[in-house]
Amino acid sequence: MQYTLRRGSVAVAMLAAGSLALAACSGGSGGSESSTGSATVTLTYMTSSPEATIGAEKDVIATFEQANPTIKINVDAGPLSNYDTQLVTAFKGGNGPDIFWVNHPNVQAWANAGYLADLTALANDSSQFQKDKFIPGLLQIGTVGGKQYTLPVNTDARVFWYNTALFKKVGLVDSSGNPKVPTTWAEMQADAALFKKAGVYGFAYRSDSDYAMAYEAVGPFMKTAGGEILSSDATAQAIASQSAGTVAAVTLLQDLVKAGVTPPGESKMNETTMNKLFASDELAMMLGGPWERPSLEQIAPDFKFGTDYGVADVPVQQAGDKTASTSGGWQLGVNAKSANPAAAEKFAAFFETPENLQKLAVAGSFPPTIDGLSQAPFSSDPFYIPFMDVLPNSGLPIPPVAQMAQVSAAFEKYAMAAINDGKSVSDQLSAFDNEVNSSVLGQ
Amino acid sequence: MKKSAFVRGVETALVGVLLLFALVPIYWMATSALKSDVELGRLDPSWFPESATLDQFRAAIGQSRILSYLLYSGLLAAGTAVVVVILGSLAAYAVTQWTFPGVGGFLGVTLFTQLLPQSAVLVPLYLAWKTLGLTGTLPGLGVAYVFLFLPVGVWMLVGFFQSLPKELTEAGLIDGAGRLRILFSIVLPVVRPALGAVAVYTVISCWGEFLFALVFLRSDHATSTVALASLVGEHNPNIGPLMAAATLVTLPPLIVFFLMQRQFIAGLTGGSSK
Amino acid sequence: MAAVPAAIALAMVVYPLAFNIWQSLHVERLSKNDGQFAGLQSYSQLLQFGGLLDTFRTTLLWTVGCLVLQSLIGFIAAVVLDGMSRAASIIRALLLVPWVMPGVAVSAVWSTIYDPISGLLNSVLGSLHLPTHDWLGDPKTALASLVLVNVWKGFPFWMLMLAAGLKSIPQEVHEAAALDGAGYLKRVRFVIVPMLRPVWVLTTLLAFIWTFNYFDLAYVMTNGGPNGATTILAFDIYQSSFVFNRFDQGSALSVLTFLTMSIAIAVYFRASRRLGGGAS
Repeated sequence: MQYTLRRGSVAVAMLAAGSLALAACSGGSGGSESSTGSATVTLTYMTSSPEATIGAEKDVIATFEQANPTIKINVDAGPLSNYDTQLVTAFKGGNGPDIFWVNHPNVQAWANAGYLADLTALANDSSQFQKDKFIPGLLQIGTVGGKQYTLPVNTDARVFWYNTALFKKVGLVDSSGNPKVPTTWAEMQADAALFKKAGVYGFAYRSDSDYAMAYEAVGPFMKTAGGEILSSDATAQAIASQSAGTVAAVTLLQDLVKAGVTPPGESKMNETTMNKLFASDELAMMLGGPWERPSLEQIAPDFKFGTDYGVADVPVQQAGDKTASTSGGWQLGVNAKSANPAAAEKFAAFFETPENLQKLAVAGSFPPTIDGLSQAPFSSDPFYIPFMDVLPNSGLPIPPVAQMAQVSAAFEKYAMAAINDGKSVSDQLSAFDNEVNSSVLGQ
Repeated sequence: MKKSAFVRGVETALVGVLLLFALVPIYWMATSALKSDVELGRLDPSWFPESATLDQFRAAIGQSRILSYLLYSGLLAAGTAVVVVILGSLAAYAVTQWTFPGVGGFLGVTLFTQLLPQSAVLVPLYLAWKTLGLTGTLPGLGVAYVFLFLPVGVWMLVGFFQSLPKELTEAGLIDGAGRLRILFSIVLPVVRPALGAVAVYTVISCWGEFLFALVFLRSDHATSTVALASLVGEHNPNIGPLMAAATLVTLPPLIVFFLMQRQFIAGLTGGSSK
Repeated sequence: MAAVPAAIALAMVVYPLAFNIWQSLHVERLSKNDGQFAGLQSYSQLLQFGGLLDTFRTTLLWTVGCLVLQSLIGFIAAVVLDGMSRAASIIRALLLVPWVMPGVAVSAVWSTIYDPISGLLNSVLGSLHLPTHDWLGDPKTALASLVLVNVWKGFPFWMLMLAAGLKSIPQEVHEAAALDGAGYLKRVRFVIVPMLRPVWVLTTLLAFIWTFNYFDLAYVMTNGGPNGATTILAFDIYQSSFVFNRFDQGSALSVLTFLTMSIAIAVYFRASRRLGGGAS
């Protein structure tokens, strides 16, 4: 009948058109289609940066391609969400990009599984890689079993952010009328109480991911008090409940919540909400990384650094202690099963020059080099002074182990139970130690 | 059916509530897509954008490849739906017309294909596809989608085919028509809404599928869900462009279904069962 | 004709299942010992440390909650729209929109709706002088909040299936019932509902399995929290495999899921056969 025939022919036409279109689109599997006739090598480079900030990386790639006409690099800019899932599944199939960014918690596991190429020779070759210019801790992250598997790409740190208008409003100013920023935990708690009286939130902390407690909320304070989550010796046991600094840091946050100075929604607080409160003069103090500044500029262009808010060192436990913070960052790895390992390593070496890394770091992260922050564009910007203060004493809150994701998630669970629900800090941290030691580590 | 005025009044109220329920979040998404970053950064949400702007759409298009990905998503969904409807109706017809042994078993197997969650199927399917050389290409993913969605398509159609009165097909058999002709001339027009449902199910499943598209495709040819996810940064959730992209991703199927609805009604009023 | 889909179905069951069974019996955790035989170690670890009972409970609450509400709303939508031929097509297309949105978009939009400080829901409640809440951050309300999102997203599927089923009811049946003097509501109860039974059963089976395995919302909106309040099995499997790299445990969980659901389905089929009904 009419309708059936029409539907049938429509279907056939669609099928034909669809197949043709899909076949035409399917060219992207990375073969070396060289039109020049010479042995062009094609590498795939994968990054976690969104398209919006990938410009600097593409410049570096373009420069490399110009200097190396036989090497072509395809950029695969996958979404950050499930980035690890993309890569691990590809690796399991023997696929995967040739050079790629690695989030630092994954280095151990990926090296153990044989996904990462051994870059020790490259790292020790001073004509290709200037090892002594890099922050040793970051090189350490990329080292597994004495061998270098990844090279550092960037790092970061968290410092103390304060709202100038609120400080002035409650009278926390020094003799020149500038905000009197707390330098110790006790001062910070006292200040928070004043803000609460003034009807705003004194302090907020992030809690929106498995890594929030370890890196953003508890971690920086823990570092200033010399606390540890896992022992940093070879045994790497969970010792959170035995580390005075860790217990103190968790207790600090618990006390802040009990004092009622934190905003609602702290069981799932994200940076966006914190920034909104901060820029609306509803939140006086918080910790954050350098990336908060562009976010604040976006939502509140009139809320300016220097005049409306400032950054300072992370408050310390006792007056006179050295300030510290947590750092993370990304690394660069080479596929152990790359079809063109020599070319891949050559590109990695080019990428890993301090000059190129400096160019990448402007988008909200720091170069992984010792003197990175003392060069342009950071050196002339007073915003980076506290970051320069904390960076030398900054490090991972959890020493590199293969099960970093699981340890972090467990710490998040137990720390939040203590901080948000008011449960006993020592009980929760002991439970954390037990769980991690019995079912996570050594597995 | 004749309904009393009271019943019609209740029905109208229900429709109103349903529409509100379904559309308020959509309205929220669309208006968020028209707000500026500053307005999105305020603490109190607003019902109307202060000054509607297309900046977020421009940002979404500039920061991701959403327009081309929308095209790929469309091709993928349409192609898969066509294959599933054709193969599915053939199979469902065969299963219901011929009572061969193992029919129940076949249906059971179909159901069992759905039991394993995505996470469990991802790696084995990827490994198989890698061996077949189907990874990294849109048609390769299309084949995967057929594998994923065909069993349920068949299952759905069997359910509808089974509720057909036998008289329909028997009338055709008495007239001396072959099985295939019966399928095309008599059965299919009657189960048109079922075919439509299966096509719609397949298109929606393909359109919204994220994990396999993410892992099987490379970023030069990916789907619209991947474009959406790619807008979210490590520290900036990028709400404005995200809402704009979400609006863009919701529009195409909506338009298609709106058009298809009319075709359905036209087909139904011309069909034989009513 | 039925051979190709049958072969596909068989391959899609046997191969992934075998793969997961194999993986659950070996070491697969991105370690140097990957590939070693480990026997039932993953299973025993799961039973000891996995919190399986809680996860199962949460998953059942999630699945049943979604199913009941989705089918109810879908049924009402289908029946109400069945009689309104002119406006129905437009209204039905509008009601389809939640289903048409990809899960990624749904999570993003509803996360902003549920935000405790600047979200739409709390703003509306506040202006109506009703209590506001941290919907996704309170373990008591988190799962229900996710259920609401999934009901919003999924009821159009039910509406579609039931509407197609309604259209397949021959007009003569309706007319016969009307002639017998049955009023509208009686017709709904004694004619429509029984004749929809095959479609209802089919849709329930499918929706049950799909909802059971749907973890996107639990992953993006609450990441299994707070305090494991939204940790459903499918999320646990994803997290074990791809976040914690414990592919062996993830596979063990998948196998357990498969077994549990197979038993449940088998029990259901036997029970429905004994009751003499059922369309399959």
